[in-house]
Amino acid sequence: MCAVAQQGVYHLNWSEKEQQVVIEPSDHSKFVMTMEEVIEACRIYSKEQRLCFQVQFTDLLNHLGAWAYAHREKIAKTFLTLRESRLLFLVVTQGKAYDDEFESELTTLDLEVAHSDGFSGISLSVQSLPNCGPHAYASFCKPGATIQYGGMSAK
Amino acid sequence: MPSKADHIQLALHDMQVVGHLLLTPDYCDWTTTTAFYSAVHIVEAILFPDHSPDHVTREETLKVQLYQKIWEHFRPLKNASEVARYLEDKSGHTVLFKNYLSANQVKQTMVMHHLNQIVKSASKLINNTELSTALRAEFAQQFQPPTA
Repeated sequence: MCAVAQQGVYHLNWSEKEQQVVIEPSDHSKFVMTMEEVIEACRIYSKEQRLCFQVQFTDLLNHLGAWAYAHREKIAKTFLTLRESRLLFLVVTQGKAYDDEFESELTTLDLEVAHSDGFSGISLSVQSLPNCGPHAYASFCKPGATIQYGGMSAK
Repeated sequence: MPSKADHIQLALHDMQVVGHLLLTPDYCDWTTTTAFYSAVHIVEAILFPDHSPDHVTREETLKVQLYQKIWEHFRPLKNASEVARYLEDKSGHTVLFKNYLSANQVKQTMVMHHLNQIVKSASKLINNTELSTALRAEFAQQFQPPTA
């Protein structure tokens, strides 16, 4: 029925769509499906995951935006970008000096997102930078995959 | 393959380097970075003694409740070390690390506070009295000289 590849991967191929597949989960239930049905189930799961991510991502954008707005007195620029295969919330501060209280609040935000069921499909890291020019903060942003928050200037 | 003891040895070694670097205020960027590397070895001794995971796995693991205390101090240390290593402005708007964190702040905030808290939390989680004692003793020897 299905070939087992060298790395132990099962290949289910559309060319065998009539073939029956038996799936036995850990709860001792049993699913008997055709290969075609398995492929369709995968499509539905994948679409649901994408939709779930889209909803969570929109919520995250709003959540981070609200956080940035609440801290606008200390923030010069805010970005959401990609770094090391996850999202990075990058904050450029108004000041050039390290601010331990601000770092602590950023850590709290980071943990809040990590522990929230509403962001269960999201992997996020946070990073602050002291006030610097575009050349400096741009090196932390992935070209073509960066959103900048606007309209939050404290001045 | 490194062991829990190997990671702690490397963490102690890095602490000794931090101790030396603290004597030279001009190297506060490297002091911060080395303090961070010491913290990385401490974390790996607790979480991944047999292998080094990628950054993402290490950090996501630290965010779980059990290790949260460590993460609360590891993240600012990591943040500061990334500023030290990667913040480079070629537009003539140079960011000097010592303007971000002075030598005294590096000592008081990064080492005496954040690294100290990581050492304290790790000592409770490492499940090895000898390593736990070694960790606390080295920190005390390097950064908390006995008062006369």
